[in-house]
Amino acid sequence: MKEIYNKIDFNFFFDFDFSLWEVSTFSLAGAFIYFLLNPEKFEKLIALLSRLLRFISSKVDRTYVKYDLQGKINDYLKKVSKRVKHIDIKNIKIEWIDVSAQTEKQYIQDGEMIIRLKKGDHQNENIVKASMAFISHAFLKKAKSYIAKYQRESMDLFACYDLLKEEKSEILDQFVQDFMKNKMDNEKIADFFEKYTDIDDVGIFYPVLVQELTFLGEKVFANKRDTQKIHKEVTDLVNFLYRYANRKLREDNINDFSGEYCKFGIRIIGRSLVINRDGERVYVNHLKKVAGKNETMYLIGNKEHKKFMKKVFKSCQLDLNYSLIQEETYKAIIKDPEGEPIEVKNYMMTIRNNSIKVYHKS
Amino acid sequence: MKAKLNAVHDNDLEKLLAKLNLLEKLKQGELKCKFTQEVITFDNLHSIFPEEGTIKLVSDSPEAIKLLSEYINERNL
Repeated sequence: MKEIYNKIDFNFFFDFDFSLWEVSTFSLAGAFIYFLLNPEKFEKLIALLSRLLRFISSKVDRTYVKYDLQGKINDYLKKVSKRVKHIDIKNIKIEWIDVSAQTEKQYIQDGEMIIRLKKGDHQNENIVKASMAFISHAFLKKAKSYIAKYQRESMDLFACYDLLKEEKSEILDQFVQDFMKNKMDNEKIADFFEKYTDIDDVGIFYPVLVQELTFLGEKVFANKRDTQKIHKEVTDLVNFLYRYANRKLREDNINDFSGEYCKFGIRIIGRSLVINRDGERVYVNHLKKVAGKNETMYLIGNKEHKKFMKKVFKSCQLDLNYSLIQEETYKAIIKDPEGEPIEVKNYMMTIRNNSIKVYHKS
Repeated sequence: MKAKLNAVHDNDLEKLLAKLNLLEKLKQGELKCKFTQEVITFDNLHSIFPEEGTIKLVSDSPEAIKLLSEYINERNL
C-alpha cells in the first residue's frame, strides 16, 4: 500500500495570468454569442440604453420607442413559438416610414398600413395599443381563421394579457381599462377567458389548445367547411381542456378528444407506483392501443420521469408510426386529491401521426 | 416568418400628413375615423391605410382598433 501511495504524487499548481484585454475579449465574445441567440434581449438592451439617453435627440427617442416595443413583443413570440409548432409569425420588425419619400398618389396606389407611435413619454400607451393591434391582426392567424368571433376575441384578449402581464402594472392596468373591461361584459367572451386561465395554469393553453387550433386551421383551409360545426367543436375543445385542467390528481378523466377536425389524446405517463411495478410495458401497450384513433398525442408526466417517458416512446415509435414534434419542461399548477392547488414541474412530449401532413384533408 | 409593421413617429406625423394632403383637413376637423366616425385629431390618430382611391384614418379608441383588426383580417390588408 505504501508503495502504491508513494507512486501517486499529485502536485496541483494553478497560475492564472489573464490580461484585462483577454478578459474583455472573452466577455464581449460571450455577450455577442448570447445576443446572437437571443436577439430580442439585444433589442431590450438597446431600448434600455436609448431610454436613458432619449432626451438628447428625437432620433434616440425613436430608437427607444421602436426597440422597446419590438423587444417586448418578440420576447413573447419567442416564448410561444417554442411551445406551438407551425406558428405563423415568430418575429416582428417595426420600420419607420421614410416620410420624405411619400406622396399622396403613390401612397394611395401602393401604400401599406401605417401605425402611429407616440413619443417615448407615452410608451405605455404605445405598448398597449400596438400589442393589441398586432395580436388581433397577425398573431395566430392560422388558429383563429375559422373560429367564431367571440372565440377569436377572447383568445386575443388572453394572448395580449399574457404578453403584458410581465410588464409594469400601469401597462396592464391600461390594457384592462382600454380593452378588457368592455369586452368582458360579453358573457361568452368572459366565460372563455376564464377557461383559458385555468387551461394555462396547468400549462396546456399554448402547447395543446393553440396547437390543436393551428392543426385545425391547416386541416380546413382548402376544404368546404361547415362553420357552425367548427365553432361547436372549438367550444367542445375548450370545455374538454377546461375539465382536464380542473381534474384532481389521480382522478379518472376522459382523455381523448374525438372531434371531426381535432383528434388527440392526453396521457399522463409515469405514476411512480406503476413505473416501479410494471416499467414501460403498461404504457407502451396502452399507446399502441390508442394511437390509431388519434392524430396527435400529448404525453405528460413529472419532470423527473422525462427519461422514462422518452424510453416509452422510443420503444413503440415505429409501431405507432408517430414522430416527436415538440417537447418541453414547464411549471404547472394542478389540483391535489383534495382539490388544493400545487405547483409541479412537468415534462410534455407532443407526438404526431406521420401520415398526417401539414396541410391535409380529414 | 417575420411580420413587418410600418410606423410613423410623432415627430414626423405632421410632415407625413402634409405630404399626403391630409394636414389641413385634420386641422379643420374634417377627417373622421373609418369605423367609429369620431373626428380625428393629432391626439387620437392611430393608423392610416389606402383604400379605393382614398386614404382612410383610424382613431385609437379600443373599438376602432378591434374593428380595424377584423377589417384587415377579412381583406388581408
